[in-house]
Amino acid sequence: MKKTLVVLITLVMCFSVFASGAPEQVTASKSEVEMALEAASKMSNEELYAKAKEEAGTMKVYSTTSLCGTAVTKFMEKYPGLKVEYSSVGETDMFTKLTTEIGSAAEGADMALLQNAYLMQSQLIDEGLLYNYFPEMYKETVNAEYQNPTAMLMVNKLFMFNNTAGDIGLTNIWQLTDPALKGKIFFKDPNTEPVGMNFLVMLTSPKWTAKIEEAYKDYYGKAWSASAEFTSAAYEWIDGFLANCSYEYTADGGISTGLTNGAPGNIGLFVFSKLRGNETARKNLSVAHGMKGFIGFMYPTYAQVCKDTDMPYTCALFINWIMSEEGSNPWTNDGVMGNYSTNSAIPLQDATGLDREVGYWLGCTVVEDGEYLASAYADVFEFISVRIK
Amino acid sequence: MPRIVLEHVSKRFDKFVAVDDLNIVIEDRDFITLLGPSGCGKTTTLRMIAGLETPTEGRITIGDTVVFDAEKGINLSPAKRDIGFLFQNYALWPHMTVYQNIAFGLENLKWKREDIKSRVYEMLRLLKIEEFVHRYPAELSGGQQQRVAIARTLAPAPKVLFMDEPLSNLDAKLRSEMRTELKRLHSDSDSTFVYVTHDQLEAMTLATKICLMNKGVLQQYDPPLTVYSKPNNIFVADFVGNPTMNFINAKLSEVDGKHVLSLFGLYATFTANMNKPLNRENVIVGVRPEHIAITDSGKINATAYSALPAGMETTVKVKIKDALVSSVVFGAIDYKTDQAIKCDIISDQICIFDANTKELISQGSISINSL
Amino acid sequence: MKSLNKNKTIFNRIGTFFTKPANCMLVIFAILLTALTLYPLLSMLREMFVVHAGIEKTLTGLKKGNFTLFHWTKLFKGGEWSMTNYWIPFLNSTLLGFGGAVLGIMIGGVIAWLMARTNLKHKKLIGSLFLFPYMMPAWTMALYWLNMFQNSKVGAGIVGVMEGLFGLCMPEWFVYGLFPCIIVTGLHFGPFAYILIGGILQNMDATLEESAVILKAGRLKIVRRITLPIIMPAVLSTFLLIFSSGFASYTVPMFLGGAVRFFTLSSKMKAMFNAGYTGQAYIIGSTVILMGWLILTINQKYTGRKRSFTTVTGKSGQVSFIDLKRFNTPISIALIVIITFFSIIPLIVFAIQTLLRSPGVYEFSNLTLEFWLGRGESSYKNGMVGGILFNKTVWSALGRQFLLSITAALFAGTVGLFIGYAVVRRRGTKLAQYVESMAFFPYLIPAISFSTIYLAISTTKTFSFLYNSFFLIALVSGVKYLPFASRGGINSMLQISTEIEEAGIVVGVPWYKRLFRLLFPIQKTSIMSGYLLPVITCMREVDLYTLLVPNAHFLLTTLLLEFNQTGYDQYANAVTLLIIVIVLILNSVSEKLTGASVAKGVGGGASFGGN
Repeated sequence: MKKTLVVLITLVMCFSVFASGAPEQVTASKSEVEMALEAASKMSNEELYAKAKEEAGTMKVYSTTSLCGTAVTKFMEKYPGLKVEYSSVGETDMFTKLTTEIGSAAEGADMALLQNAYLMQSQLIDEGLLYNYFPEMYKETVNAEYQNPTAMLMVNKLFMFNNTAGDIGLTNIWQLTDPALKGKIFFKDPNTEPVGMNFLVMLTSPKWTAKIEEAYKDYYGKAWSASAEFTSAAYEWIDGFLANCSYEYTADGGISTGLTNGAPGNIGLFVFSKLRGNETARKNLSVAHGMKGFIGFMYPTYAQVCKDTDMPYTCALFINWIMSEEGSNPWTNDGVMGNYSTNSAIPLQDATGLDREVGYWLGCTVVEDGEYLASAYADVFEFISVRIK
Repeated sequence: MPRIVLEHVSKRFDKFVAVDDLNIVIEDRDFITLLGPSGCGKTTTLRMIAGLETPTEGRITIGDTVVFDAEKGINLSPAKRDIGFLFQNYALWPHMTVYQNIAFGLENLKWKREDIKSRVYEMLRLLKIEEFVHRYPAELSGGQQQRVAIARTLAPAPKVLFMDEPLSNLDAKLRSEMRTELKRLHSDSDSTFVYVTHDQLEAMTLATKICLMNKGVLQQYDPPLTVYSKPNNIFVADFVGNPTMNFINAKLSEVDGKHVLSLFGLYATFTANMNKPLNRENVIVGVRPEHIAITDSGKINATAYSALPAGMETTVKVKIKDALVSSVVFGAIDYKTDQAIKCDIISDQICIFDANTKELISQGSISINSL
Repeated sequence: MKSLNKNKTIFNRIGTFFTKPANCMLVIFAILLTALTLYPLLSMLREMFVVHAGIEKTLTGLKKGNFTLFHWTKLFKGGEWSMTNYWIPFLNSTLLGFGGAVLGIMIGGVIAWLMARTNLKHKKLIGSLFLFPYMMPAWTMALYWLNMFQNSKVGAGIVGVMEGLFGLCMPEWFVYGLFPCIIVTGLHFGPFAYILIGGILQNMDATLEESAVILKAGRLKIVRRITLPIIMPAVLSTFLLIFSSGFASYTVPMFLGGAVRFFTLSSKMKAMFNAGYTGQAYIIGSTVILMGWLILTINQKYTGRKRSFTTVTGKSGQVSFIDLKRFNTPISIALIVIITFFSIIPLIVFAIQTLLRSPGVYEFSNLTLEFWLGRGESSYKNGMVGGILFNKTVWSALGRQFLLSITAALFAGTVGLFIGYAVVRRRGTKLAQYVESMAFFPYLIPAISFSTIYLAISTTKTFSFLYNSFFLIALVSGVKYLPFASRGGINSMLQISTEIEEAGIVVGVPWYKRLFRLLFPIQKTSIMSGYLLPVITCMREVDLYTLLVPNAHFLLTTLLLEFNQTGYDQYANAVTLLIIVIVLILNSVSEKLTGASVAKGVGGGASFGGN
């Protein structure tokens, strides 16, 4: 029995190694797809359309945002003859699927609209599984930070509070570490909400540590100094903040409802877009505008091309489309709030009167940066993970 | 002392009547067998007396205590009836050793540990199963399990012991061995035994009284030999005895103040030893096989259809005219097939049953009129 | 020459071995299950020792796919990391699994005993209502608990039903954390325990208890000393099944534990996956397999050969019910009230949620049927075209889910039946034991790992025909539900004596005819029920499919997940309600038509008549 087990294990090991894909090809020269994408970035939409029509087949796109379905339908109306198929894939499943499928024998995705800069960087880009494509035509209107990797959309999560007993006066992020607020700050468990974890990790970057120190000085009237326990102000803030968090709600909708109907003065950190469909929420909740330090965080939805696509031009044309005013409409129309195209040429449409231009949010929220995340993740995650217990 | 009285006891399951208006008295130290074919209500009766089944109607008294009375709403739990019960499949607890099985009942009686131990060993010795004391039931043979079950039942020394076909799962040899043991146990233990069986031989050999039932109705309640020799009706006559009683259709008439039977195309004079009117024409004559004698002086001409010698006795199928009857002859005698023989009906316990009601109407002797 | 002879005898022996159909089946299943179960198990094992892409490369300085002990040393090195990421969640999971199993068995056992052994009133009603919590996904029960008991003194301070109606403010430990998690798990699996234990009680020889009554043992003593030990093997295997589910449960502690930071291993596993610590995630995930295996071993030890016995005698017609007398009415009414509180009322509360335009606002003006029946522009604004009853996506997803459930059930049920036959006929042999335990293991493998591994298989060249195929999800669900199906198969085959088949062998009936014409018809109802259980489980399965279906809109449950993630709570609730109602209807229709029901499927032929 033991012997057979050993044999079986060995067999499985061999099989698995074999199955996990052929050894990575390390080639200095650019692949065909990369060259096609480079050429595509300089083309006009008409030229691209002509090229895309030459690519027979169906372009498959995986997306974490379900509004992509509408964009796909409109795209095919605009460019008859092109076939695009959209699959809605969950945030975590996206990475499992892409890492398993790209380069395998399976006919997986050609491109993906995905979130979570950290995992995208460390599991896909660093492994050479994704190619970036950015159209030259948007070079001026999209912030350089969002050109490689290409981000098409931003979503913001903001600190909001229940105002039914008046403004609670959130003016500084350090207020959030006051032990009196224990259990009164509602936030999705960062363990199960990767973008939340990314937000916390981003705080330790030099830029945001500086802002936190500044806020500290403002709040306590003295400069922050390192202690045995905390090597940076960011860590100290995270420590105090997490101690106050309640993970009662597992979805942003839950936090929104819970905060709206719950006790006055409760605070939540969740997506701004939840306010759109709910009049009571808009009435009972206020955004902590002007809070020193930051008032929330933003995370991009990236558009990336899979290494093994055979339809690079269609992918390119689709990315052009969703970054255009017309194509990004499913996300940016006045029925949807809290979603912002990275293309600053697209004007804000807001029916609620609460939303602001993307530039405003970018100035006061923490934004993900895949490369920093990938470099600092291990240390910060270890620090944070033992504080979520 | 435990005298068990059943008065008008009935048990119905929905529309099905399992036991119908049963009245019996079981005297102290009796060994009663409840006998009958399967489904006759005998097990239900036993379980009602034991308290495992609730009668629909009637009254049951054990000793001086009314244990059940439908009208007064009395229904004592089995635990309070001071009885022992031996189940057909022994119902030994599989998770307990032999010792634990036997000791369990004594523990419930709050006996002292030493007393329990000595009683358990006493029972083990009595039933010759000392060596299995620490085994689990699954490790015992059928006969051994049976003994453990008996030991468990007898250990608290119940005054009344109920047994539900306790020997039916044993092989023939073991069964007859256990029968002897049970009979000795009965005389040694001065308890009242109530025993359910469908085996008439078992009932005959063990019981002081047989309670024979059919379709929920009591057929006869008498000592075994009475049941055998003076059956109340054809059902009883047929059920008891092996080979079974011969039943011969006959016509009864009165000629010159004598009762004349016409059977096998012959005429016979019937002399009754019971004072009952014999005013029916269609009757059935019941003759036990041992009462058909094969002798050269016999008045009936017949042929031997087949002979089954068993050593001690021989069962002969005798063909008289077109009818086949069984005869049992002492000793091993072989007849050739179709050999011509003569036979006779010898006994003053020949039964005459009413052909319609199947009830016994008379008993007496028959003499075949000479041709 | 000698060796030639020896070879010949071996060949002969193999020849004789394969003349028995049970042996052939065992060999086939051994191979099949090794591929379908052992392979995923060993793949998981491999994941615990290799470096994955991303952070693990940075941390170990090794290449992807290299062998490493890093995951183990990191997770078990001690210190705070081990504590918060393994030991505390491990303790919580263990407590939850243990508490849930004990409570479930207590609830289910008491009800099973009342139903099987007493003259309790309204048995039919109690029996069918009691099954509801098992048909509902466990998390709906968790949400219900919150809706009922949340209050202004705890958590977000939302007024729940109990406070709203009676001013009752339950303390925090009652509303959040271990206690409600145990209650919800116990309530969800109570019916399951009831079905299993009830089945055994029904088949248990009543004279075992009667003889104890006659020997003057009290009711409680009989339960404690006779009934419990005898049904112990069944209780233990029920314990194993509930424990493993409770131990691995994710959603219930998510909903009820977050407010007081009650985290279990599953949430830590997810955290590790999210953060890219894949190796450690697999180690955490495999803990449940280890625990399951441990309980399995204990179970086998406890019911070792010495004390082994079959409880099924078939001679249970003469059960006499214990008269509850004057307690009968109070007990039955109390039961009905309590069970209604956890069966009908949750459904009503759930239904109300689907009618609220803005969630959480319980006002008459806020009621709408839009989410069910809406058409046109106004419902378009809610994110989809039309209410779910007029939505093509919903209906086609429902259709596929249905088809999938039936396919998976056909696979699991049929394989389970053949396994049942083969294992029972060759009981005691090593091969039979191997097949039996291999068929059980899929139950212990976490759904996420299970689907990840099958996804990887389907992306290889050899098996690429499986990729995104309906067949793959059917196969995966079939294997995942095999444990129940094979248990059911074994149980139903155990109840048929070998003589019935031997009678067929003697007159030369070929084996397949013996199975299909003799054995299966005899156990028709219980076999049908064995098919029903996977159908019902499959109808509400989510985790297994998210990776394997080509699109979230493909199945009703993945669509539900999508609604949940997007925040369309009312749609999500409506779909959930739809699933529960379909499951309930399925069960009762099949009970009416064929006599088969979930209860019979798990209990191996148990049914409680009304009185």
